[in-house]
Amino acid sequence: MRFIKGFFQFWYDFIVGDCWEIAAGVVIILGLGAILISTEMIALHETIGLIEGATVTTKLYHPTVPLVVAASLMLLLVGSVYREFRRKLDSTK
Amino acid sequence: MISAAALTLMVSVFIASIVETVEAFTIVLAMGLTRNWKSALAGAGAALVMLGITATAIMLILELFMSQIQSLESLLQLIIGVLLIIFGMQWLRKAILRSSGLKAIHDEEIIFERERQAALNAKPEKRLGLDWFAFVVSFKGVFLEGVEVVFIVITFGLAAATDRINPIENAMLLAAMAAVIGALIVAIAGSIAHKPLSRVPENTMKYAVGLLLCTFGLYWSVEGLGFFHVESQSLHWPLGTWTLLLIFCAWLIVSRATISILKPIAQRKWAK
Repeated sequence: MRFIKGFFQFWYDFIVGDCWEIAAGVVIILGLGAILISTEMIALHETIGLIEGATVTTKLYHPTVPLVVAASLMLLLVGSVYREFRRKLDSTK
Repeated sequence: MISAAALTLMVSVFIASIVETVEAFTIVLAMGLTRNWKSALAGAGAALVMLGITATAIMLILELFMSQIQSLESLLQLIIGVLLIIFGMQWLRKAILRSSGLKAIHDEEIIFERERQAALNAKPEKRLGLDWFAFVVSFKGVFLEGVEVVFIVITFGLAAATDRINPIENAMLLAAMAAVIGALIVAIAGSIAHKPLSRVPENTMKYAVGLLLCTFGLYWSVEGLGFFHVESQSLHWPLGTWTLLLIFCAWLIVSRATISILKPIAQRKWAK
Protein backbone atom coordinates (compact mmCIF):
# COMPACT_ATOMS: atom_id res chain seq x y z
CA MET A 1 0.00 0.00 0.00
CA ARG A 2 2.85 2.35 0.90
CA PHE A 3 4.56 1.50 -2.39
CA ILE A 4 1.40 2.32 -4.38
CA LYS A 5 0.92 5.57 -2.50
CA GLY A 6 4.58 6.46 -3.02
CA PHE A 7 4.32 5.62 -6.73
CA PHE A 8 1.36 7.96 -7.28
CA GLN A 9 2.89 10.64 -5.04
CA PHE A 10 6.05 10.54 -7.15
CA TRP A 11 4.12 11.06 -10.42
CA TYR A 12 1.92 13.73 -8.86
CA ASP A 13 5.00 15.67 -7.66
CA PHE A 14 6.64 15.12 -11.04
CA ILE A 15 3.80 16.39 -13.21
CA VAL A 16 1.87 18.78 -10.97
CA GLY A 17 4.75 19.85 -8.71
CA ASP A 18 4.15 22.62 -6.22
CA CYS A 19 1.78 24.56 -8.45
CA TRP A 20 -1.54 22.71 -8.48
CA GLU A 21 -3.42 25.70 -9.97
CA ILE A 22 -1.71 25.20 -13.34
CA ALA A 23 -2.73 21.54 -13.55
CA ALA A 24 -6.28 22.35 -12.42
CA GLY A 25 -6.51 25.32 -14.79
CA VAL A 26 -5.32 23.29 -17.80
CA VAL A 27 -7.86 20.54 -17.11
CA ILE A 28 -10.69 23.08 -16.73
CA ILE A 29 -9.77 25.06 -19.86
CA LEU A 30 -9.37 21.98 -22.05
CA GLY A 31 -12.50 20.52 -20.49
CA LEU A 32 -14.47 23.57 -21.59
CA GLY A 33 -12.93 23.29 -25.05
CA ALA A 34 -14.01 19.65 -25.17
CA ILE A 35 -17.57 20.60 -24.20
CA LEU A 36 -17.70 23.26 -26.95
CA ILE A 37 -16.56 20.77 -29.55
CA SER A 38 -18.72 17.87 -28.41
CA THR A 39 -21.90 19.94 -28.18
CA GLU A 40 -21.08 21.79 -31.40
CA MET A 41 -22.27 25.03 -29.89
CA ILE A 42 -20.44 26.76 -32.70
CA ALA A 43 -20.70 25.10 -36.12
CA LEU A 44 -17.61 23.12 -37.10
CA HIS A 45 -16.21 23.90 -40.52
CA GLU A 46 -14.96 21.07 -42.64
CA THR A 47 -13.09 21.67 -45.85
CA ILE A 48 -12.37 19.14 -48.55
CA GLY A 49 -8.68 18.38 -48.67
CA LEU A 50 -6.69 16.46 -51.28
CA ILE A 51 -8.39 14.05 -53.66
CA GLU A 52 -6.18 11.01 -54.16
CA GLY A 53 -7.79 8.45 -56.40
CA ALA A 54 -11.26 7.88 -54.98
CA THR A 55 -10.34 9.10 -51.51
CA VAL A 56 -11.54 12.45 -50.30
CA THR A 57 -9.90 13.74 -47.16
CA THR A 58 -11.49 16.22 -44.84
CA LYS A 59 -9.91 18.50 -42.34
CA LEU A 60 -11.63 19.41 -39.15
CA TYR A 61 -11.43 23.03 -38.08
CA HIS A 62 -13.04 25.06 -35.39
CA PRO A 63 -13.25 28.83 -35.73
CA THR A 64 -12.60 29.79 -32.11
CA VAL A 65 -11.69 26.93 -29.75
CA PRO A 66 -7.93 26.83 -30.58
CA LEU A 67 -7.54 30.57 -30.06
CA VAL A 68 -9.69 30.64 -26.93
CA VAL A 69 -7.79 27.70 -25.40
CA ALA A 70 -4.42 29.26 -26.28
CA ALA A 71 -5.35 32.66 -24.84
CA SER A 72 -6.82 31.10 -21.69
CA LEU A 73 -3.73 29.00 -21.02
CA MET A 74 -1.47 32.03 -21.44
CA LEU A 75 -3.64 34.01 -19.04
CA LEU A 76 -3.46 31.09 -16.61
CA LEU A 77 0.35 31.22 -16.71
CA VAL A 78 0.42 34.96 -16.12
CA GLY A 79 -2.11 34.59 -13.30
CA SER A 80 -0.02 31.90 -11.62
CA VAL A 81 3.13 34.03 -11.83
CA TYR A 82 1.26 37.03 -10.46
CA ARG A 83 -0.08 34.89 -7.59
CA GLU A 84 3.50 33.91 -6.69
CA PHE A 85 4.53 37.58 -6.89
CA ARG A 86 1.71 38.58 -4.48
CA ARG A 87 2.65 35.72 -2.14
CA LYS A 88 6.25 36.94 -1.99
CA LEU A 89 5.09 40.54 -1.56
CA ASP A 90 2.80 39.61 1.34
CA SER A 91 5.48 37.51 3.03
CA THR A 92 7.92 40.43 3.13
CA LYS A 93 5.44 42.95 4.61
CA MET B 1 16.81 14.60 -45.17
CA ILE B 2 15.44 15.67 -41.76
CA SER B 3 12.38 17.92 -41.93
CA ALA B 4 12.11 21.22 -40.03
CA ALA B 5 9.60 19.64 -37.64
CA ALA B 6 11.91 16.70 -36.92
CA LEU B 7 14.85 19.07 -36.38
CA THR B 8 12.77 21.15 -33.94
CA LEU B 9 11.81 17.98 -32.09
CA MET B 10 15.46 16.89 -31.81
CA VAL B 11 16.72 20.33 -30.74
CA SER B 12 14.02 20.56 -28.02
CA VAL B 13 14.92 17.15 -26.58
CA PHE B 14 18.67 17.83 -26.96
CA ILE B 15 18.50 21.06 -24.92
CA ALA B 16 16.31 19.44 -22.23
CA SER B 17 18.74 16.53 -21.98
CA ILE B 18 21.73 18.88 -21.55
CA VAL B 19 19.97 20.85 -18.80
CA GLU B 20 19.00 17.73 -16.83
CA THR B 21 22.36 15.99 -17.31
CA VAL B 22 24.21 19.06 -16.03
CA GLU B 23 22.12 18.92 -12.82
CA ALA B 24 22.68 15.19 -12.41
CA PHE B 25 26.40 15.59 -13.10
CA THR B 26 26.74 18.18 -10.32
CA ILE B 27 25.32 15.73 -7.78
CA VAL B 28 27.45 12.78 -8.94
CA LEU B 29 30.56 15.01 -9.01
CA ALA B 30 29.93 16.20 -5.44
CA MET B 31 29.54 12.62 -4.22
CA GLY B 32 32.54 11.39 -6.18
CA LEU B 33 34.92 14.13 -5.04
CA THR B 34 33.73 14.17 -1.41
CA ARG B 35 32.93 10.54 -0.65
CA ASN B 36 33.79 7.80 -3.10
CA TRP B 37 33.93 7.67 -6.91
CA LYS B 38 33.17 3.96 -7.20
CA SER B 39 29.99 4.39 -5.13
CA ALA B 40 28.90 7.58 -6.93
CA LEU B 41 29.36 6.02 -10.37
CA ALA B 42 27.66 2.80 -9.22
CA GLY B 43 24.68 4.86 -8.10
CA ALA B 44 24.58 6.72 -11.42
CA GLY B 45 24.85 3.45 -13.35
CA ALA B 46 22.09 1.82 -11.32
CA ALA B 47 19.88 4.85 -11.99
CA LEU B 48 20.51 4.59 -15.75
CA VAL B 49 19.50 0.91 -15.68
CA MET B 50 16.36 1.83 -13.71
CA LEU B 51 15.57 4.57 -16.24
CA GLY B 52 15.89 2.07 -19.07
CA ILE B 53 13.48 -0.28 -17.31
CA THR B 54 11.05 2.59 -16.60
CA ALA B 55 11.14 3.80 -20.21
CA THR B 56 10.60 0.27 -21.54
CA ALA B 57 7.68 -0.30 -19.16
CA ILE B 58 6.03 2.98 -20.21
CA MET B 59 6.52 2.16 -23.90
CA LEU B 60 5.00 -1.34 -23.46
CA ILE B 61 1.97 0.10 -21.66
CA LEU B 62 1.52 2.73 -24.37
CA GLU B 63 1.87 0.11 -27.12
CA LEU B 64 -0.84 -1.96 -25.45
CA PHE B 65 -3.00 1.13 -25.12
CA MET B 66 -2.52 2.06 -28.76
CA SER B 67 -3.20 -1.47 -30.01
CA GLN B 68 -6.57 -1.35 -28.21
CA ILE B 69 -7.59 2.02 -29.58
CA GLN B 70 -5.91 2.21 -32.97
CA SER B 71 -8.51 4.50 -34.41
CA LEU B 72 -8.26 7.00 -31.56
CA GLU B 73 -4.86 8.65 -32.02
CA SER B 74 -6.54 11.95 -31.19
CA LEU B 75 -7.19 10.65 -27.64
CA LEU B 76 -3.51 9.78 -27.26
CA GLN B 77 -2.57 13.23 -28.61
CA LEU B 78 -4.89 14.81 -26.06
CA ILE B 79 -3.41 12.85 -23.13
CA ILE B 80 0.17 13.58 -24.19
CA GLY B 81 -0.68 17.21 -24.96
CA VAL B 82 -2.24 17.72 -21.52
CA LEU B 83 0.77 16.17 -19.76
CA LEU B 84 3.18 18.27 -21.83
CA ILE B 85 1.33 21.54 -21.33
CA ILE B 86 1.12 21.05 -17.55
CA PHE B 87 4.78 20.05 -17.38
CA GLY B 88 5.83 22.82 -19.77
CA MET B 89 3.92 25.55 -17.94
CA GLN B 90 5.66 24.51 -14.70
CA TRP B 91 9.04 24.96 -16.39
CA LEU B 92 8.05 28.24 -18.04
CA ARG B 93 6.57 29.58 -14.80
CA LYS B 94 9.82 28.90 -12.93
CA ALA B 95 11.86 30.44 -15.77
CA ILE B 96 9.74 33.61 -15.63
CA LEU B 97 10.07 33.80 -11.84
CA ARG B 98 13.87 33.40 -12.08
CA SER B 99 14.21 35.98 -14.84
CA SER B 100 12.04 38.42 -12.84
CA GLY B 101 14.16 37.97 -9.72
CA LEU B 102 11.29 36.34 -7.79
CA LYS B 103 13.10 33.01 -7.53
CA ALA B 104 16.77 32.26 -7.03
CA ILE B 105 18.73 31.63 -10.20
CA HIS B 106 19.74 27.99 -10.61
CA ASP B 107 23.46 28.01 -9.75
CA GLU B 108 25.43 24.78 -10.13
CA GLU B 109 28.26 26.06 -7.92
CA ILE B 110 25.86 26.66 -5.01
CA ILE B 111 24.17 23.28 -5.50
CA PHE B 112 27.57 21.55 -5.70
CA GLU B 113 28.67 23.18 -2.43
CA ARG B 114 25.39 22.23 -0.73
CA GLU B 115 25.71 18.60 -1.83
CA ARG B 116 29.37 18.58 -0.81
CA GLN B 117 28.52 19.84 2.68
CA ALA B 118 25.77 17.22 3.04
CA ALA B 119 28.25 14.55 1.97
CA LEU B 120 30.87 15.76 4.47
CA ASN B 121 28.31 15.76 7.30
CA ALA B 122 26.78 12.36 6.52
CA LYS B 123 27.81 9.44 8.69
CA PRO B 124 29.84 6.74 6.97
CA GLU B 125 27.78 3.66 6.10
CA LYS B 126 28.88 0.73 3.98
CA ARG B 127 26.57 -1.67 2.17
CA LEU B 128 27.50 -4.12 -0.60
CA GLY B 129 31.04 -2.74 -0.42
CA LEU B 130 29.82 0.75 -1.36
CA ASP B 131 29.63 4.08 0.45
CA TRP B 132 25.84 3.91 0.80
CA PHE B 133 25.25 7.67 1.12
CA ALA B 134 27.16 8.42 -2.08
CA PHE B 135 25.39 5.57 -3.89
CA VAL B 136 21.87 6.61 -2.86
CA VAL B 137 22.32 10.35 -3.47
CA SER B 138 23.86 9.73 -6.92
CA PHE B 139 21.13 7.22 -7.75
CA LYS B 140 18.34 9.59 -6.74
CA GLY B 141 19.93 12.57 -8.51
CA VAL B 142 20.47 10.75 -11.82
CA PHE B 143 17.11 8.98 -11.69
CA LEU B 144 15.03 12.07 -10.91
CA GLU B 145 16.72 14.22 -13.56
CA GLY B 146 16.65 11.33 -16.02
CA VAL B 147 12.92 10.73 -15.57
CA GLU B 148 12.29 14.25 -16.88
CA VAL B 149 14.30 13.48 -20.01
CA VAL B 150 12.55 10.12 -20.48
CA PHE B 151 9.19 11.86 -20.08
CA ILE B 152 10.08 14.48 -22.71
CA VAL B 153 11.48 11.87 -25.14
CA ILE B 154 8.40 9.65 -24.89
CA THR B 155 5.79 12.43 -25.02
CA PHE B 156 7.47 14.34 -27.84
CA GLY B 157 8.37 11.22 -29.78
CA LEU B 158 4.94 9.62 -29.46
CA ALA B 159 2.95 12.76 -30.24
CA ALA B 160 5.14 13.61 -33.23
CA ALA B 161 4.95 10.05 -34.60
CA THR B 162 1.17 9.76 -34.23
CA ASP B 163 0.28 13.26 -35.41
CA ARG B 164 -2.40 12.57 -38.02
CA ILE B 165 -1.76 15.83 -39.78
CA ASN B 166 2.06 15.92 -40.06
CA PRO B 167 3.54 12.73 -38.59
CA ILE B 168 7.34 12.61 -38.17
CA GLU B 169 8.90 9.32 -39.22
CA ASN B 170 10.98 7.59 -36.52
CA ALA B 171 10.17 10.43 -34.13
CA MET B 172 10.81 8.32 -31.01
CA LEU B 173 14.21 7.19 -32.31
CA LEU B 174 15.21 10.76 -33.24
CA ALA B 175 14.12 12.04 -29.82
CA ALA B 176 16.03 9.25 -28.02
CA MET B 177 19.16 9.91 -30.13
CA ALA B 178 19.01 13.63 -29.36
CA ALA B 179 18.68 12.91 -25.62
CA VAL B 180 21.60 10.46 -25.60
CA ILE B 181 23.84 12.81 -27.59
CA GLY B 182 23.05 15.68 -25.21
CA ALA B 183 23.80 13.54 -22.15
CA LEU B 184 27.06 12.24 -23.66
CA ILE B 185 28.28 15.74 -24.49
CA VAL B 186 27.71 16.85 -20.89
CA ALA B 187 29.29 13.69 -19.44
CA ILE B 188 32.39 14.12 -21.60
CA ALA B 189 32.66 17.86 -20.92
CA GLY B 190 32.20 17.23 -17.20
CA SER B 191 34.83 14.49 -17.14
CA ILE B 192 37.32 16.84 -18.74
CA ALA B 193 36.41 19.88 -16.60
CA HIS B 194 36.17 17.89 -13.35
CA LYS B 195 34.11 20.67 -11.75
CA PRO B 196 30.48 21.88 -11.86
CA LEU B 197 29.49 23.05 -15.33
CA SER B 198 28.37 26.46 -14.10
CA ARG B 199 29.23 28.17 -17.39
CA VAL B 200 26.42 26.30 -19.19
CA PRO B 201 23.63 28.89 -19.61
CA GLU B 202 21.23 26.66 -17.72
CA ASN B 203 18.59 29.24 -16.85
CA THR B 204 18.35 30.42 -20.46
CA MET B 205 18.15 26.83 -21.65
CA LYS B 206 15.42 26.00 -19.12
CA TYR B 207 13.49 29.02 -20.39
CA ALA B 208 13.88 27.79 -23.98
CA VAL B 209 12.78 24.26 -23.05
CA GLY B 210 9.77 25.67 -21.16
CA LEU B 211 8.75 27.64 -24.27
CA LEU B 212 9.12 24.57 -26.50
CA LEU B 213 7.23 22.26 -24.12
CA CYS B 214 4.37 24.78 -23.89
CA THR B 215 4.34 25.24 -27.67
CA PHE B 216 4.11 21.56 -28.51
CA GLY B 217 1.84 20.84 -25.53
CA LEU B 218 -0.68 23.48 -26.62
CA TYR B 219 -0.47 22.41 -30.28
CA TRP B 220 -1.11 18.73 -29.57
CA SER B 221 -3.67 19.14 -26.81
CA VAL B 222 -5.84 21.33 -29.08
CA GLU B 223 -5.45 18.79 -31.93
CA GLY B 224 -6.47 16.12 -29.43
CA LEU B 225 -9.68 17.99 -28.55
CA GLY B 226 -10.98 16.70 -31.88
CA PHE B 227 -11.50 13.40 -30.03
CA PHE B 228 -14.71 14.90 -28.61
CA HIS B 229 -16.11 15.54 -32.07
CA VAL B 230 -18.51 12.90 -33.37
CA GLU B 231 -15.84 11.64 -35.83
CA SER B 232 -13.03 11.67 -33.20
CA GLN B 233 -10.75 13.25 -35.79
CA SER B 234 -7.77 15.45 -34.86
CA LEU B 235 -8.60 19.14 -34.91
CA HIS B 236 -6.56 21.21 -37.34
CA TRP B 237 -4.98 24.50 -36.48
CA PRO B 238 -5.29 27.17 -39.15
CA LEU B 239 -1.97 27.52 -41.09
CA GLY B 240 -0.96 23.91 -40.28
CA THR B 241 2.54 23.48 -38.80
CA TRP B 242 3.31 27.20 -39.29
CA THR B 243 1.03 27.60 -36.31
CA LEU B 244 3.81 26.10 -34.16
CA LEU B 245 5.98 29.14 -34.87
CA LEU B 246 3.12 31.51 -34.04
CA ILE B 247 2.34 29.67 -30.79
CA PHE B 248 6.03 29.80 -29.83
CA CYS B 249 6.13 33.54 -30.52
CA ALA B 250 2.96 34.05 -28.48
CA TRP B 251 4.40 32.22 -25.44
CA LEU B 252 7.63 34.20 -25.86
CA ILE B 253 5.83 37.55 -26.02
CA VAL B 254 3.61 36.74 -23.02
CA SER B 255 6.57 35.55 -20.91
CA ARG B 256 8.83 38.48 -21.88
CA ALA B 257 6.03 40.96 -21.17
CA THR B 258 5.45 39.42 -17.73
CA ILE B 259 9.17 39.54 -16.94
CA SER B 260 9.50 43.15 -18.09
CA ILE B 261 6.65 44.19 -15.78
CA LEU B 262 7.69 42.24 -12.68
CA LYS B 263 11.49 42.55 -12.87
CA PRO B 264 11.73 46.31 -12.12
CA ILE B 265 9.29 45.93 -9.21
CA ALA B 266 11.22 42.97 -7.79
CA GLN B 267 14.53 44.80 -8.18
CA ARG B 268 13.19 47.85 -6.32
CA LYS B 269 11.71 45.77 -3.52
CA TRP B 270 14.23 42.98 -3.03
CA ALA B 271 17.51 44.08 -4.64
CA LYS B 272 20.49 43.33 -2.34
